[in-house]
Amino acid sequence: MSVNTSGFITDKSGDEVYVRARWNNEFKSTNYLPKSLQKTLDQEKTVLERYNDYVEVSKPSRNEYSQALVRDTAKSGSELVRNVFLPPQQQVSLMERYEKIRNYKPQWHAPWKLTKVINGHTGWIRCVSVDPVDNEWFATGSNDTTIKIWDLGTGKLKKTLMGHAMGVRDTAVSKRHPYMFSASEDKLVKCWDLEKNIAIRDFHGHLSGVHTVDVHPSLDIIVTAGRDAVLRLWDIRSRSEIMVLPGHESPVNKVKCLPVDPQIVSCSGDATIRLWDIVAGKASKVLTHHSRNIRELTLHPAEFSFATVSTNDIRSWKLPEGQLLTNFQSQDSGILNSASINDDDVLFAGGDDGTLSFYDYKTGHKFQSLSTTETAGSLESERSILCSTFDMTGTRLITGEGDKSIKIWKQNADATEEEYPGLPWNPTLVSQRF
Amino acid sequence: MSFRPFSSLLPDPKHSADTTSSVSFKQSGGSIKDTIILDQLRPQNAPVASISDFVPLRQRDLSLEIPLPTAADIKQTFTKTKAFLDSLLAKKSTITSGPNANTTQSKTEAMASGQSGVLRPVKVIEHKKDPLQPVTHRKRKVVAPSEEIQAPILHKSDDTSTKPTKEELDKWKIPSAISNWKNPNGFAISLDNRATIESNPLDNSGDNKKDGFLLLAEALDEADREARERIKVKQEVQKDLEEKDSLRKEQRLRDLAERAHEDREQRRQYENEAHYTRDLERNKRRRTQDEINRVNKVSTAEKLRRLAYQQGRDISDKVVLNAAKATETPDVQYDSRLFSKGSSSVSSSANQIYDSPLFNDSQIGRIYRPAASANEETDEIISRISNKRGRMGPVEFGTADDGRNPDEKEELREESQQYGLQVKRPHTS
Repeated sequence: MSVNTSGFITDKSGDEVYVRARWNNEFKSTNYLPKSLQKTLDQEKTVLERYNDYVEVSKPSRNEYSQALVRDTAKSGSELVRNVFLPPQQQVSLMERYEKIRNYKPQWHAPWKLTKVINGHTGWIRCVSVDPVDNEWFATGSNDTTIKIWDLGTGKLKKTLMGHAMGVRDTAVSKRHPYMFSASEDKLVKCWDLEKNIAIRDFHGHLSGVHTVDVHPSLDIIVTAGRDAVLRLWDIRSRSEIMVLPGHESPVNKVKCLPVDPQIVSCSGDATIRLWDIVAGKASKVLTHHSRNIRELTLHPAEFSFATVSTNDIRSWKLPEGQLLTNFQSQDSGILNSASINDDDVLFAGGDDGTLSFYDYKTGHKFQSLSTTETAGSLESERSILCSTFDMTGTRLITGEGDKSIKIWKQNADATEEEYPGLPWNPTLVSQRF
Repeated sequence: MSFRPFSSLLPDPKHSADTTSSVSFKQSGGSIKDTIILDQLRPQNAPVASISDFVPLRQRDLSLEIPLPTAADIKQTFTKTKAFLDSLLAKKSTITSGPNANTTQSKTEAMASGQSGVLRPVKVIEHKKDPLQPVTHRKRKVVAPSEEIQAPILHKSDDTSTKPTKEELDKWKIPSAISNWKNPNGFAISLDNRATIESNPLDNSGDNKKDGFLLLAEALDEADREARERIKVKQEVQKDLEEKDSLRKEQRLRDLAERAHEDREQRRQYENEAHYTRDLERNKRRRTQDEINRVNKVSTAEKLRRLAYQQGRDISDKVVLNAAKATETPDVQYDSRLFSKGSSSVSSSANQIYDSPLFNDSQIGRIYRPAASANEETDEIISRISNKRGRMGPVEFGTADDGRNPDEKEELREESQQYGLQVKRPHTS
């Protein structure tokens, strides 16, 4: 060192001092790793340590008395290489991962069956939402421009709300206000007072039909999006448009609000999912895994994750990062319109041809598939399931269909695993497709 | 940099300060040092895709727990976002209502501190607005910013397996009347009709299944076809007739030519001119005799009519039969139909404007006459007029009078005879 502890220059030449100083100036920072990286490097074991570990682990099997004349050296050799020489946390081969997945045992769920059919609307039923507070009623919005409120227990019609001029595409009931919001193709978002049963506010501003609306869980704002491919944030009280979030290139199909960042998640016809940052005013992450129109996005009620549904493709994502969680077994499902998840880790996906598919949310295993019961006089082309939701308890599934009926499905409570084992768990490598 | 010698003329290293913050640790894909170097080489903020992005997290670890956000997190996000949104809203409200409020404030102040010395309270009232009224200004389309960094595409883009084949496309070609296309509002053809059509689309035998429109269209087509056929036949017949006509004309011309030829031949046969003229005269006389005989055969009425025709007049049957009578009431000078039209009956529905005639029969006679109480002079005039105009006997027709004097006429005749002129008369023979 050119500088001693007292800070005086001792016996080094001026050149040396210059070189040292310059090195300090420019390259000293590269001499040390950042703390976090250094920590992970320190935790990483050396090859020798790993070998010792491997020997420790496989000792009991070696000491065990074996009558085999030839030891399975190939297997043990590959194991040795994998465990000792390859860095940890890295998936070695596709086949091995496949083996691992095969060994999973998906959770068993009781099969679902139809319990009730409700008729009353004269157009397609485009959206359904359940009273989030008391779980006593649910609202359906239809192409016949009305919103109807039904009793969840009896299935009786409670109220018909008229006010929109075109089909109602989405409804959202607030947990913190006595309000319901409805988005319609007539470019309007209406706020309904559920104590007086009238529309009290109109949110004007969308240039085309509004496809989706959601209420922010903690702030007094709503987020809407539609055919004009932008998300709009509205102040509920003053009806003013706070913010416009452009970014999508096609109509936005679904928007959901979360209490923490990313506070808005949206999916669109341009096959992207965007996680939005309100403060920055732009998308913090764009997920491009899907290749077709993403028609549905649904949040898990008990886990911080969400699932998106595209043609032939269902995927779930971890929040807040937006990492891929599960790739569902949905290769042969066709066009999917709707999905919903309950607390019991059941994901329901409703198809455009009237098939109902039930998945285990964690493994992506399809455990039941049935086609909807046709209403008398309806055509095959009218069998699509357009919207769905579980009630707040997660025991009842409500679907709105293209044959203008609402159907309520329940789990068979008496079913046992032996009696109804469900579809077999046959994970394919295709399910790891890109 | 805390330590910087004076001798160093070089600038600070560019990334020395933020190395720790920009480097991110990738779980897979080479060693950590490689990652750091790659990160440094990459352009700022460029997104990265690695194989780990494709591998679902739950395939690595099924028991992965993802807890819901805690209340503290939610609170923190809430306060942060609330502050931001409030600032946005405040900015908006000052833009919309700020300057207006200020001016009113200053006005009130000015008025309050005016020279008059009297404080006048000024009440500021906001203009009433319909809460449901839509905004009046035009909204513009928002286009996504293009400078945004493109996210890497994480799916196969060369997927050609699901392209529809020709047969599949053909399958979708459905006649519009029985379109199976989605019908969200339930309009157009009713369900049961569509169902019956769909059940056997090839069976067209029963007309009762057909729609009214379909029947009408078929009937119209049939009528059109028939009309076309009829026109075609008519044209053919007409063509035939025209052909025959032209043939006949040709034949006549040929006959005439032949006769002229014969005539000439005959004349050549006679020895002299006198012989020939005598023969001609004889023929002529015979022809006139025939004519007279034919005229004698027809009735008197017909004879009279012919006579009138020869004189250049046209007379009605009544006159011919001597049944015509002079009008009985001499003072009726109008067409009675004018008055009777309205009164006829209810039956003349469309033409009938008034339900009863304007004048009674008794009044009709007096329309153009002075009142009965007029003086004797007018009565006399009227009686004179009516007498003069009234006709006692039948109409007598005379020869057309030129309006010349008889002497003049005589002179004209002589003149015409002198110069061989003839007055043109109607054809007699």
